[in-house]
Amino acid sequence: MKHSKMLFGLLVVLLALGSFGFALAQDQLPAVDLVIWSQDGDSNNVFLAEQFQVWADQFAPGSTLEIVQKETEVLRNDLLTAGLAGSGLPDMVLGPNDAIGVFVDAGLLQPLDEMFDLEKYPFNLAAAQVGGETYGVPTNAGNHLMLMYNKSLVETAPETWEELIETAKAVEEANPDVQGFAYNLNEPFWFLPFVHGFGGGTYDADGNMVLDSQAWIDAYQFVQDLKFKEGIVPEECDYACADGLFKEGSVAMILNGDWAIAEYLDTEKSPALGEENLGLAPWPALPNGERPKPFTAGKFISVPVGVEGDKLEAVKSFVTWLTTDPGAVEAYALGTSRLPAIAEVTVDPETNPILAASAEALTTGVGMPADPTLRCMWDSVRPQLEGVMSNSVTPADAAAEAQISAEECIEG
Amino acid sequence: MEGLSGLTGDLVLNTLRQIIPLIIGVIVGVVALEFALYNLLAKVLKVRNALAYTLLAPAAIAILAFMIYPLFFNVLLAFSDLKRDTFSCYSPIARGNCKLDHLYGLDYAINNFSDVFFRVRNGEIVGWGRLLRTEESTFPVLLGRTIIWTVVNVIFHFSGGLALALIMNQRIRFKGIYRALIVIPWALPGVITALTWKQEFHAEYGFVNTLLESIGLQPVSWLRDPVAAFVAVTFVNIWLGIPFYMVMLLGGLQSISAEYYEAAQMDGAGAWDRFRFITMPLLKPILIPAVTLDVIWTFNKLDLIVIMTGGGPEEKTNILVSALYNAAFGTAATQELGFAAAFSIVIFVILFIFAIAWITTSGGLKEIYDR
Amino acid sequence: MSTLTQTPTTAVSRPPAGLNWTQIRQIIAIGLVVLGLILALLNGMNWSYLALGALAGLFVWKPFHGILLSYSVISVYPVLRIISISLRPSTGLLSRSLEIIPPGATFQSYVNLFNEEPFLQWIWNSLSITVTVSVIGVAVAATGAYAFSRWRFLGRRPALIFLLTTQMIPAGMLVIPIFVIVAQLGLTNQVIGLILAYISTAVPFSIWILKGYYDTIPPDLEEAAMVDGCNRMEAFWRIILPLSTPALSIVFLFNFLASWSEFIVAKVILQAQTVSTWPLGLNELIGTFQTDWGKYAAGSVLVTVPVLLLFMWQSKYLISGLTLGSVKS
Repeated sequence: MKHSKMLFGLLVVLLALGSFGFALAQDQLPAVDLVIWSQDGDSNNVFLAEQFQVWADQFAPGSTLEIVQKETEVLRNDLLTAGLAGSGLPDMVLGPNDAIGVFVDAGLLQPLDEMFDLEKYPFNLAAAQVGGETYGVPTNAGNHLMLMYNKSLVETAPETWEELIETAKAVEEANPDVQGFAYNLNEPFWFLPFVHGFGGGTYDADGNMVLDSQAWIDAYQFVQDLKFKEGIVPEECDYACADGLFKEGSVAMILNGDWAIAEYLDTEKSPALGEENLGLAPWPALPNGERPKPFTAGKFISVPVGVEGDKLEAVKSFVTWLTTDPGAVEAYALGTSRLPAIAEVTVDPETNPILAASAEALTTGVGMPADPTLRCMWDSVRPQLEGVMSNSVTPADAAAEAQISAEECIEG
Repeated sequence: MEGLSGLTGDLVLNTLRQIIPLIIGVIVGVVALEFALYNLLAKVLKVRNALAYTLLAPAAIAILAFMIYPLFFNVLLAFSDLKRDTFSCYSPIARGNCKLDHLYGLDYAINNFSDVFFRVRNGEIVGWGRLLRTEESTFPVLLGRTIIWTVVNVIFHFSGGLALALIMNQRIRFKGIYRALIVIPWALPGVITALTWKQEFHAEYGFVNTLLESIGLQPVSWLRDPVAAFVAVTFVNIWLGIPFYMVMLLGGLQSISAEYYEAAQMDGAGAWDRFRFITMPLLKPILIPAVTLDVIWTFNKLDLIVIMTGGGPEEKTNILVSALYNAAFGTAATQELGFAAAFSIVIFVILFIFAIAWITTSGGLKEIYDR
Repeated sequence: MSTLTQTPTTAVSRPPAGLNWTQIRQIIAIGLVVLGLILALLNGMNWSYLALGALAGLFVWKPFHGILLSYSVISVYPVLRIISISLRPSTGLLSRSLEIIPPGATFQSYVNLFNEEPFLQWIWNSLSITVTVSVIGVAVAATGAYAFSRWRFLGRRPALIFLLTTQMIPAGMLVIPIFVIVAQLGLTNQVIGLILAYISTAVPFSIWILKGYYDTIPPDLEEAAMVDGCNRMEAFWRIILPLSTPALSIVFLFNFLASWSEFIVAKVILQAQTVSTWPLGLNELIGTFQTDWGKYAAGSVLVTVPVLLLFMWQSKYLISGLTLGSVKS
C-alpha cells in the first residue's frame, strides 16, 4: 500500500507538471459544481475525489464534485423519487450495471452513444446496453466475487469445495478462535455463482426467465448442505460479519468482491491482512468439476436526464478522461485495486500479483445482463434462499416458488 | 477534513443564515397573521369564537402543508397507474413516450385496490394479492401477524408497566434512581436501539446466546429462523414500550387519593377487590388514551422491524407497515407506486376503523372531548 | 398482591407483625450470598456466581428492590454494551466477551470518529434542526391546544379526532409526497426543508398532550385575571403558560427526541454530505459494503448520552407532564 501511495503521489506530481504545458494549449471548460451518486464504498470514493481534483485542475479549474454515497437499493429508489419530483437528480451515477435497466425503463438516463468514443471499452460495454443503446461508461471491469483467504492461516487456496471444507476444518482445529470459512449466505448475489456452476442461468436461450431448472435445485441443495451437513459456514453471517471477521483475522476464507480488495490491502483498516496476507483465487470447483461462475460486469458511470450545457460538457470531459487516460485509469481503477476496462492499461503479474489474481478470477465469471427483469430474479430468489438456509424450505419447493414469483413480477 | 471534525465557520454561518430568518419569520408571520385574522374574524365577519380559530391557525397551516397535502397526493397516486414502465408519463423530466391515454382515473384505482386483495394470473383469481414476493406477504397473513404483534405487545407493555408502577408506588428507597434507569429505553434513539439489539441477537456474537449457553441452553439462530426472529423483535418492542406505561400508570396511581383505600378497608374489601374496584376504574382515564396511542404506535412500528430483520427471513416477520415500506423502498421494491399508495390507504383505513371502534366502545371519546 | 395495591400513606395494611418472616428471609438471603461466594471461589474466582447469589438474596430479602434492580439492569445493559463496543480495540470488535470494559480498552474509535468523519458537522446539523423544530413546535402547539381546551367551537370534535388520526398514518406512506413538496419548494438539501416537515409531524401530538394538561387548570384562574384587567391572551401568557411548565417541557422533550433521531424522511431530503444529520452519517458507517462498528458505537454513545441525561433529568416532569392531563382533578 505504501508503495502504491508513493507511486500515486509521483503520478499526481507528474500529471500536474505535464498539465502546465498542456493546459495552455487547450481550451479550458468553465467551472461547474457536479454531484455524483456513488454506490461504491467510501475508501474507493476517496480515489474518485482525488482524480476529479486532478481533472479539474487541468481542464476546468474551480470545479467541484460532491460524492454522495448510496447503497444499491437506496440509490435506485432515490433516483426514481427525484425523477418523480422532477428535481434533485445528480449529474452522474456510479454503480454496477444491474440498476441501469430499471433506470432506462423509467426514462431517467441519457443514451451515451453520441457522447463517448465507446470503441475504447472492449470488455464489458454490453453490460450497460439496453435496447441497442449504451447507458453507462465502465470505470473498471470486474465487480466479481472470488475466494479471498488469509495467507497466515491458509497456505494455498483450495481448488475444490472438498478441499475447502477440509482446509476450513483444519484451520478451526489449529486455531480455536478462528472460523474456517464464512460468506454472505443469504444474499442471492453470492448464490448465483453456484447456479452457474451447476450449468444454470437466469434466462434460457429464448430469453425467458427460468429459476426452477435442475441447476437451481442442485445449487440450493449444495448451499444447504454446506451449512447443515458440512457445518462449515457459521450459523449466521451476513456481509458485515464476514467482512469484519476477515479484516481482524478471525476467519480464514471468505467470498467477496473486487470492491473490497483496496480496503483489505490497507493494514490500518484490516489489521490482519495487507499485501502480505491477502490471497485471492477463483471459486473452488464443485463436485461436477465446474467452478461456480460469479456475475461480472464492473462499475459504470451513467448520466441522468436533465444534465445539459456546461455541466454535460464537464461530465463528458471528466468521464472520458477518467476512463481512458492511461494515467487516470492507473490511478483510479488500479488505485482502487480493480481491473481496467480499457485495453491500453494492463496488469503486470510481476509487480501486482494481487490484481493479477483478481484478473484470473474474473475470467471464470459470466456477464451480468442489464435487463430490467433481472430485478425480479433477485427479489424472487432472496426469500427462497433464506428458507433454504434456515432448512425450512426444500430446494425443489424453493425453485418452484421462485419461478412463480418471478413470472408474476415480470407480468407486473 | 476541514475545520474541527467537519465543523467549519462557513457551515455554521450558513445554517444560522437559514434558521434565524426562519424563526424570526415564523414569529413575525404568526403574529401578523393572527392579528389580521382576528380582526377579520371578530370585527369584520363577527364570527363566534374568533379567538379560538385565530389561535388554531398556525397549527392548522403547519398540518395542512405537510400532512394533508401529502395525504391528498397519496390518494392521487392510488388513482394512478404509476409503475416502472409508465414512469415517464408522471415524471416531468423522464425521457420516452408515454403510452397511457390518461394519467389518473377510477379504472386505475380499481386495479390498484383489487391488486391488494386479489392475485390474478391469466385472467383468473388465484388467491390473495401479494405485496412482496411470497405467500407470506398477502393481505390476510400480514393483517393476522399485525394483530398478533399488536395484541402481544400491548398486553406485555401494559402488564409490565403496571407491575413496575405498582411497585414504584410503594414507599421504597432509591425511587428516583430506579425511575431514571427504567425510562432509558424510551429515551434511546430508535435507530441505535434497533441496531444494537440486532447485534445482541447475533447467533455467535450477541449476548443473548452467550447468556443462554452460560446457563446450559442451546443457542438460537435468532435472526435466521423466522419464528425466533419474530420473538426477538417482539421482545425488543416490549422492552421499548414498558417505560411509557410505567410512567403513565405511576402518574395515575399517585393521583388516587388514599381515602378511597381506607374507606374500602373499613368495608372489609380484600386486596384484590381494592385493586379491581378502586385502582383499575380510577386508572381508566389514563389507561384508555395510553392504550389507544400504544395500539396505534405498535401497529405502525416500522423502524425496529425494518432495521432488525428487514421483514425477513422469508418475509415472515413483516407486519403491514413494514411490508409496505419494503414494497416501496426495500430491497424488493416493485416501483409500483400506485399499488403501494392503494395499499397504504387500506392499512390506514383498517387502523382508523379499529381505533375509532376501540375509543367509542371504551368510552374514551368522552374523555377526549370534554373534561 | 396484598402489598401491591396499598398506597404509601396507609400504614394499616402493612404485613402483620412479620418479625419472624423478616428474620427468616434475611437468613435465607445471607445464605444465598454465601452460597454465591462459595461457588465463586470454587469456580476459580468467577465473580458472576457471587453477583447471581447477591441478586437472589436481594429477591428474598427485599423482593421489590430485587425486581426493580433486575429490571433496571435489563434497561441499561444494552447501553453499556454500546459503550463497551466503542472501547474495543480494532482487532476485537466482534467478540463474545460480556465484559463491559474490554481487554485492551482504548478511545481510538472516538479519535477516529472525530478525525475521519465530519462528526461535529453532523451534530451541528442535527442540533440546529432539532432545536428549531422543538421551539417552533412548542410555540405553535401551545396556542392551538389552548383553543381546543377553552372553546367549544364549530369543528372541534372532528379536529380532535383528526389529530389522533395523524398518528395512524403508516410511517413511510408520506415520504414520497413530502419529498415531492420539498422539491417543488426548492428546499431539498436544505435544513429548512426538513425542519418544516418535522414541525408539522410534531404539532398534532404536542397539541394532544398540552390540551389534556390545560384541561386540568381551572378556568376560574384566567377569569379572575381578566376581572383584574388582563385580556384573554395576557391571562394565557401570565397564568396558563407558567402553570403548564411540566407539560411544555415534556412536549419540548418529545419533539426533541423525535427529530433528533429521525432517519427515514431525512434520508430523502438531505442528500448532500454537508447537511447530513448524525443518523444519516452513522448509518453510512455500517452500510452494506463497509462496516465500522467501532466508530459507529463511539458515535452512538456520543449522541445518546446527552439525550439520556436530558431525559433522566426531566423524568420527574415526565410523570406530571404526561399524565396529569388525563386525570380529573
